[in-house]
Amino acid sequence: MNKRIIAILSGVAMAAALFFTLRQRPDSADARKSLVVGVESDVINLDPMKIVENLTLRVAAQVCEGIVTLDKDNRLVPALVESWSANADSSEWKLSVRQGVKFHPNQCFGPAGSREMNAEDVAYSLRRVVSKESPSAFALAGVIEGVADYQSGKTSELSGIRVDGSSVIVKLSKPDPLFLYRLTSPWFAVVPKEAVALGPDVFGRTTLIGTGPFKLASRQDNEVRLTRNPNYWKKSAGNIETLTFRVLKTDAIRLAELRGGKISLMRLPDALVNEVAASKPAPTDSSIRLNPAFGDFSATVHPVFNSHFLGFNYQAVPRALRRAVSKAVRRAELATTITGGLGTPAVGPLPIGLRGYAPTPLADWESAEKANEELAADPAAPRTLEILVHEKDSSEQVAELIQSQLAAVGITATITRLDMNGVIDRVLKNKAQCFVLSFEYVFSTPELILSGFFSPAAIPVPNLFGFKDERFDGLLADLAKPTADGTPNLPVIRQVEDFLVGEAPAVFFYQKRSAVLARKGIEGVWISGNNILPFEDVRVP
Amino acid sequence: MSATGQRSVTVFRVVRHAAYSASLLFGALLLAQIIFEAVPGDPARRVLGPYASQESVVHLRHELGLDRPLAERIGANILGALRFDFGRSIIDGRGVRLEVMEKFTRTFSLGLQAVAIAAALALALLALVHFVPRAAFLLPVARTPSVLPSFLSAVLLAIVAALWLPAVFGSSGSSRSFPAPLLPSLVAAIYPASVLVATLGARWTSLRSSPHYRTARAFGLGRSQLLLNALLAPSSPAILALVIGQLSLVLFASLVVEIIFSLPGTGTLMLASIQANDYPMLQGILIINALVFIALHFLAESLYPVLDPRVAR
Repeated sequence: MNKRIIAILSGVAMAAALFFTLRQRPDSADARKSLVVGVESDVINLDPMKIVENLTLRVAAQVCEGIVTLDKDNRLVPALVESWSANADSSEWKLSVRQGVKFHPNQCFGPAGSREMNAEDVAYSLRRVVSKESPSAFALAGVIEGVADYQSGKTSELSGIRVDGSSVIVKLSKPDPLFLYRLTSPWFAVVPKEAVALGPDVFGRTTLIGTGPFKLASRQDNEVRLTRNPNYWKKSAGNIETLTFRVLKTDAIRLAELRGGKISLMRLPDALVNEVAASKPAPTDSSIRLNPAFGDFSATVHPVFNSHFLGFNYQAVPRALRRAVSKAVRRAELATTITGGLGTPAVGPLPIGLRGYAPTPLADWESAEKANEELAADPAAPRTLEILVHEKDSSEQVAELIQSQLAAVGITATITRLDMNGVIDRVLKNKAQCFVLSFEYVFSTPELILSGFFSPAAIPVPNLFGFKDERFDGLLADLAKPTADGTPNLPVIRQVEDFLVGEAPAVFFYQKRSAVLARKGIEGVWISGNNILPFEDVRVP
Repeated sequence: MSATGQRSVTVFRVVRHAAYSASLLFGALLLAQIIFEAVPGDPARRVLGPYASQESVVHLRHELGLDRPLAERIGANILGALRFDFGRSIIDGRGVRLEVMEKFTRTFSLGLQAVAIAAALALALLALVHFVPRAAFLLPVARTPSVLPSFLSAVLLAIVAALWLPAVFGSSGSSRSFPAPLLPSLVAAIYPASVLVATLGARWTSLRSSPHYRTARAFGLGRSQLLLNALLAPSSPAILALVIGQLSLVLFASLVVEIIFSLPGTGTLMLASIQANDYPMLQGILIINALVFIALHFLAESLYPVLDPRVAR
């Protein structure tokens, strides 16, 4: 009896062990070229129109494409629109849609299985993205003619967008020579209406149809599998057949999985730079020297359109205090501490990596003496500041560092901890004095960033500062004037940026760079200013 | 007591139990809604992000019915919940019932697996100590993990597994709901296993000094018969109660385990829904979870009389 029980127990234990061991399939079983990428957060919905979270956008961008995109130097290049032309004052644009591009096959196309993408699809997708349901509509509201009436339901037709044969004609509410630079984000992807008609439980969840280099094979919240699109219209340098995004939320676990070989590539979060780097990357470095424990890996650094700042309630905080804060913060220390060297200290709002732009030198601007001079000039200005922080983007850590830096010049900062929504709520209700936030710019040219985020038309969002100045309006008018050869008007851009630095509706700290940590032998990794890594160009051994 | 009388007692118990559960559920719903209302910030703004236009926000508020009076909203929510219709997520319009059921299946199988592992481990250890009394020193050792928080053990085990045992443990990327991945269920099993060892161990110690056990020994029963008849059988209702109690706890602990192992489940969904003020989703999670727990406890209550006839009287 005794032995029988022991025998039964050990039999059960062995069967259980066998069962669990056998069902673990090794990933390397797939002999085709594959890459597993570790990502930070759940992928809930891949419908480009519904995405507000940038991490999800980076996955969706492998499947869906927009009409234009950015090249390695962040210049505008055609994607699903082959070419374009504008009338004399750039208020009407003719977009010639690329021919012969097929959507990924799906049952929603009926017996044919797929069809060619056409001008109707481009028009449909643009209308969808400016509709009232779209979080990204703000980027085009007030730009395309008739959007306001379309959103309010006054008309069911959007007068600014119409199809003309194989072209789409876009009529703007005012001249805009940089119109197409508004559309480089994958938010503005072209999707077929048959797929959207599958409904919100299907499109973006179990099905995603685009024209991109990869097709969606499956989506779980914690894993997305893509397969190469053999009919992709563009010749690409990469060789990945299956691309898997695996969600590993904890930084330490993601890094351990990379070292253990379960994933081969991940973005390097700021918090992990110290752990993997032999030395902090300098602002001009294009790669990070890794410590010996990471000898099998390499890390590359790419400038992106992201920045971190302290925003003021422009009307409520006196100019002297704003300027004093801007001069008292030590940006290099912030960049080193918060981003592990992945931030390039900068006083202005313009990201590095934009066409032809060079940042304003720090030395001319910040110092404790200059901050004290600002304060001395306005003895009535308060020396106290309430900073609102939230759970994202190391906001609290930034505020604590600023708090100690400001204490050195006699400004007392208090920190109020809220959640992101709470901060935005107080800012919009005009009940905030000062807040830590970050921008991931959707516009890919300096003129649009400066006007799009700081013009009075952008109040209350994205001009959260409520920044308004008559002199600035004049500068914005100059900014809108095109140069003869279509290149950016750098002197005017510099003038506008300097004006913003001087008036300090916000104090910018640094412009971000993104780093990628990958197993050696993986080639062709680059990141666009929009923070997208095009896996179509990546080669795996 | 006659058969009819016994049946009416059972029916009465069922009705009383159902009424009690319903009132609990109603209270929880009301409380959730009040908390939801009290949270600062606009849910529509949160969905659309900080830079969306005010028009879009106002439109979404209308779509979600957030511009209707509070009483009307509460009424509509509770009516919807009664019809088992929780509406659609305010984040992306996906159906709540479908999503919650799918995620719950995953969490439940993780919890079930964890409790099964825990019970097997605990019983195996106690049986070992029964047969080999010298192994009793293992009992205090087995009890210690109950003080180790699961977020700590989860991260430690995940890193160890990823670095040294990548082929054996897939700590991530499981796309199936059943069986749940091994490592997370092991982590979730640590705490209930040590609680089971502690509680059952204490119970068996007291059983060993009971007249019943001593009589059984006096009759010359072997160790295995003692284990089956004098320890396991009398403590089976307690084991059932413990396992079901631990299942509730494990489902709760899965919140942490799921987040650390990046598993899609109720825990992850709940956290995301709280962060996004996704009330329809939260309501769905609350009701479906509550219903399952009520069903579990009801099942346990119905099983007690079978295991221990004294309870039925």
